[in-house]
Amino acid sequence: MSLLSKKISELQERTAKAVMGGGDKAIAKQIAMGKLPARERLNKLLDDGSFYEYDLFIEHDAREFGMENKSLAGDGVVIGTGTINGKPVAVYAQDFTVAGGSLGSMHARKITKIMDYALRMRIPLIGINDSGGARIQEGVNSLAGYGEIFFRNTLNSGVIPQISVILGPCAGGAVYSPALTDYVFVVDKISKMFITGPEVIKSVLGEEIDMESLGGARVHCETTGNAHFFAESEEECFGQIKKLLSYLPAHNAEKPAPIKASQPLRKYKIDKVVPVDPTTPYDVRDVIRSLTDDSEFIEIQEMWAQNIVIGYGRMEGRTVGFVANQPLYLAGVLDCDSSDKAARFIRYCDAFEIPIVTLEDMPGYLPGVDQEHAGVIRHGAKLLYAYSEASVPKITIILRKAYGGGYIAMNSRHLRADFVFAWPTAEIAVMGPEGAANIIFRKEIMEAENPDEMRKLKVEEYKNKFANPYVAASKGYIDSVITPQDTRKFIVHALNISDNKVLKRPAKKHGIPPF
Amino acid sequence: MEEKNIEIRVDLGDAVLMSNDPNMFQDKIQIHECGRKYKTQYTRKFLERKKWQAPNPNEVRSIIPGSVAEINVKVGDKVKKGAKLMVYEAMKMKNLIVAPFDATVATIETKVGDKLPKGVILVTLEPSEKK
Repeated sequence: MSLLSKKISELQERTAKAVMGGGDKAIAKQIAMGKLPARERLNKLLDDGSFYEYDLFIEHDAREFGMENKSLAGDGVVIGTGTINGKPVAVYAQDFTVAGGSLGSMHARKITKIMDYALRMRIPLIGINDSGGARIQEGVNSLAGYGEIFFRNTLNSGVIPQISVILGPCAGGAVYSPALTDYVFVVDKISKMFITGPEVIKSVLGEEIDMESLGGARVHCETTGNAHFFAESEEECFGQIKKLLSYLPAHNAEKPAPIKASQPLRKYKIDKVVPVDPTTPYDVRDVIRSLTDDSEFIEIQEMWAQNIVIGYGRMEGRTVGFVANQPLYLAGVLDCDSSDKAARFIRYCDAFEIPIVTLEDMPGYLPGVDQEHAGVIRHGAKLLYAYSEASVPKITIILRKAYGGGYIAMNSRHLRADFVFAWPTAEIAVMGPEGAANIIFRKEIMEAENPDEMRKLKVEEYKNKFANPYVAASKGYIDSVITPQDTRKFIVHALNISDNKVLKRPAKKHGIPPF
Repeated sequence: MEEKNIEIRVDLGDAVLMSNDPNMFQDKIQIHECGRKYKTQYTRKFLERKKWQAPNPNEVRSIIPGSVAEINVKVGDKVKKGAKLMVYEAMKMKNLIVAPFDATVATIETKVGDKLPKGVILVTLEPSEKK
């Protein structure tokens, strides 16, 4: 054997050993838990054969508690770069088969290295989390590692898309990296996220709860709003990530690349979706699908705060962010959670140059003690802040109800919408006709011989006068009253017009949004 | 607060205090260190908190304050997932209450015209056997 081939075979041996992670037994255990090994996950997520791994031979530097005699393959994390849909991305995947994917200082240094690459090369970052938490033997060095990751998450925020995939436990301080990133993907039965686990909760509070009910995938999609995409399997999850990335730019200085334009599917008939009677519910996602290319729409946080719908579609090939009240749930009201959900999405669109189309049909903010005490004032304010702050093209379509504070909040002219269009079915007023008539005509109704009849008469009178788009149109608060069939045409034209939009804002370090 | 099988430990360096009763620590314990006194207090929000209970998926509850406008099923009806159970009027909208899964209607807990707060049971269901 020549010297060179000896050297090469040594490399091959070392590589073969390192990529085995925690060894056959640990890998078998991982698979038995319904989870894929780290490298297999990356190969499934990335384009075939596009993955290049770095820092394979990293060794941990712990010298206490017998750690000095232990070798941990790659220190429990795989980092590298590859492509998705042919576009470069930076990735890391924690390897649960190596010391439970625990995070030590070298493990963290690998992650922060790939995060720095992603920022420097301006490519999206995807992190697969599957870790038991801090490596206790490394003490404060492990905590320092988390801190370095969180700091970079914040630094990268709004510059490159950051995606977290929770494919195993992610507990304690570790949850804050996903929470700082843009999109969190979870898989049923596999993902677990919490600050303190069931045992601590039991010993401190005496409350019993199992891990799935405390921080399982479904909980984070339905109740907490911490996760954005829910999948039944890891493969479905990877498909969702690829789809989402196709709508996003690689970084904040470029616009998402447009694709070939196409028409909405014929089966979605926009004039048939929305009932004229404002008290009849419908699914606003059908309105979105009747507007977008190929009727495609990728919904974000589908299962949480369902009274508002957010997500991406394309119009004439370009990515558009949709924010729409959902009359199907909670009558489409604005409340703490829906304001929170929409506000963050608007800021995301604004950061990445994605125009926002708002579809409005809502009765206002939800009244009630629990809402008031939950802080609907400050949560609701987030929505006003986000819309006012956003400088991307902003287009609003008022489908039916636009009442009270909600009318202002839902990207009204007053918050600097570029275009506001209304359907003839729009009702724009301070409050609903019933409530308004009761206040304005209180005396007449009280003094009438038949108060009920008088009330009905006055409600009708108010409806005719104010429950229409023409009062707002007469003031220029809406630009055009348009038919449902013309809506796509108007939006596409408005997007074309606003392509080079410039906006002057006062110089500041940053604003102080009510979060 | 009811009796609980939990143990609370407060480690003071030399001494460790233990109790089965979390309330024992409120207002009562004073910790002396460097001549300072500390009092452990709970927030009102903590004391008035509701204990977590596993939700029962068979109970269909009102998700918003409103009134029952229509009831479209009766006890014993077999319903498919997505079937209309009732119309619940709230926030200027005739909200549809639909079956979350294939089921038989076990009980109806409300009647037309009832004005309800949030979180009240409207209907209980008996899930159909999965084929």
